[in-house]
Order: sequence, then structure tokens, then C-alpha cells
Amino acid sequence: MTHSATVESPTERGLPIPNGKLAMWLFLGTEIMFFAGLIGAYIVLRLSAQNEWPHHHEVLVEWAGAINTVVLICSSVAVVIAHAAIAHGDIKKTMWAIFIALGLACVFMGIKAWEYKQKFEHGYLPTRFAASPIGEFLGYKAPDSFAIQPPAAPAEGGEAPAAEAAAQPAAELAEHGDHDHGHGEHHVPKGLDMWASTYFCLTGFHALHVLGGMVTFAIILLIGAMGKLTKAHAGLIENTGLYWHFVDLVWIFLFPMLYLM
Amino acid sequence: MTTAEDKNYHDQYTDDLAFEEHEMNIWGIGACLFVLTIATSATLLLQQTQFWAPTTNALFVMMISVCKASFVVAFFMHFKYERAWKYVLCIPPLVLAVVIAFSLLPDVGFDTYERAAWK
Repeated sequence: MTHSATVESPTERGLPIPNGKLAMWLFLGTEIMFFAGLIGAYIVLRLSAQNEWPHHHEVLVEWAGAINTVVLICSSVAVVIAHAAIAHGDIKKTMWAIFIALGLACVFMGIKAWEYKQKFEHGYLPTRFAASPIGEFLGYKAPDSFAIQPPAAPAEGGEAPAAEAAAQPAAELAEHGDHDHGHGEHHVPKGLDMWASTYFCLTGFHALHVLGGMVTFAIILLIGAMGKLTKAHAGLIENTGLYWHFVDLVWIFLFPMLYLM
Repeated sequence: MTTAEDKNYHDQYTDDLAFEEHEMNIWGIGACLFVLTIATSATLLLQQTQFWAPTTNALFVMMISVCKASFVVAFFMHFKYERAWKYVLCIPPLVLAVVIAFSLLPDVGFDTYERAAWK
């Protein structure tokens, strides 16, 4: 006995979005979990540190973080404009919008580099990184960079009282804290080591994502410069935009957590 | 459907999706985000007063951040206009993200404070 049946094949299979967009959303799903792990670790460490955590006034320039937030928001607006423009076939406007987004990303990275430079100059680095071969290669001196500087004029004929303090390791200073500011001595906030680890980890990974977006913007501009950017690239612009808005989204949470709390 | 028809159908289908357009005031949303950023930064002044407790500050700035994130996701990432597939793709990683954060509590938060790594 034979059976026959007519099975209607579905008109749409899978999710009703282009493959590229689906891939981008799946990638963003992994990114959500990646940053959730980092931010979750930061929150747990911060809460368990209680008062042994540097105040943002001591270690960060808040206005730099605020400017960077505005810069990223403006770049997101530029990418939205680029997507709308290419959907209407306006290639010139698309190119300009992407160029502005790339420029703003450069501004963001410039401000971030300036902030990092300040941290390096003040020795606000994880002690273990500074003491590692990479740190030594880059010229960081840990734990001496955290040590109290000797007073300007030691007592004549007497033993310099700061000699011992100068050799005091960062870990010990971080444990007890140093509240002797205003006497020519280097102030080391409590919990600086752990703060530096989390700060560089969070902002460093975010900066790497910004760099990835910049490379994508540059590729789009290159395609445009060769005259090959067409309406068919709307999907590419949309996916790039999704990625860039996610990078913006991460910073929207990093800014208040690092600079304002 | 022949292969050629299938291809045409697919191209048309994906093209429609790629060029799906929505009424959205880009500049208005950008201005809202800017104002919210200013409001967040203004807490730096409030923190210098005794009436603005750290807990109040944390709740306020995080609340504004959630608002800003909602604007970006809903409008810039077109989440508001997408169909139900958005839940299929986004709920699993969001749930896992919460699980990851909570799974850190015993390993990192309750133990590390006693370790030399903190000092």
C-alpha cells in the first residue's frame, strides 16, 4: 500500500531578515555576554571593595568622559544618516556621513589616548602589569612609581626620613592609604591596583571595539573612493551601524559607572 | 518556482528588508541623548552637596543610562520597528548575561576581598 501526501513548502524559511543582519545580531548577542561578564565583574569587585576604591575625582578627568559620550552619540547619529542616505541612493551624503563618523571615532580615541597617557604618567597602573616583562619593556617601574616621593629638602646631616618611604611598595601603600597630600608627597588612593585593572580592562576592550568600527568605516570609504559604493551596500551600512550603535551602548553604561559613581 | 524565479524572489525579499524605512526624527533623538548626557554629567555638581547621597547618585545616573540605551536600541538599532524575531535573538543572550553576572558573585566578590590581590 502506498501513501501520498501533498506538503506545502513554507514560503519563508528561517528568520525574516537578510543573512548578514542575522549574523550581526548573533555576533552582538555574544558581545552582550562578553561585556556583561566584564561589567558584572566590575560591579561585584566595586561593591565588595566598600570604601577601598579610589574616588573618581582622584583618578579620572570626568569632563573627558562626558565629551567622549557626546562624541559617540554624534557619531551614531552620523551613521543613522548614512544608512538613510544610501537607502535613497545618495552616495555622496553617505560618504560624508561615514567620514564624519570616522572623524568622531578618531576624536574619541584621541581623548582616550590622552587619558591613558595621564594614567601612565601618574603611575596609575596595575602593579603586576607594571612589573611584568611588557611593563618593563615599556619602561614602567613598579612598585617604585607608586612610592612616596622624598621631601624636597631633607634635614641637614640627618638621615633622610623619606628613604624608607621611597622604597615602600605600592601594595602596602594601597593597603593603608596615604593621606599626606600637600606635603610634596605622592598620594596613592586606596584600592588603586584593582581599580587600575578594571579601568584598563573595561576601557581597553571598548577601545578595541571602537578601533574595529573605525576599520569598517575606512573600508566603506575606500569602496566609495573607488566608485563602487551603491544602493546594494545598504545592508553593509546597516550592519556596520548596528555594530557601531552597540559600541555606543556599551559606553553609555561605562561612562556613569567609571566616571560618575 | 524555478531557480531564476527563486533568486529574483530572494533578491526582492532581502532588498525590501534592507530598504525598510521608518518615520524617525534622527535629530530629535540625538538631541534627547545629548540632554540626557548633560543631565548625567550635572550630577558631578550635585555630588558636592550633602543632599545628594552616593546611592541616590548611582540610581539616578543608571536610570538615565537605561533611558539613553533604550533610545539607542529602539530607534538607532531599529528595534522598535522589527518583528518578533528580535525576541528570539535577544532574549537568550540577555538571560545568559544576567546569569554570568550572578555567577561571578561567589567566585569574585565574596572571596577576593580576603586575598592579597586586593591589597
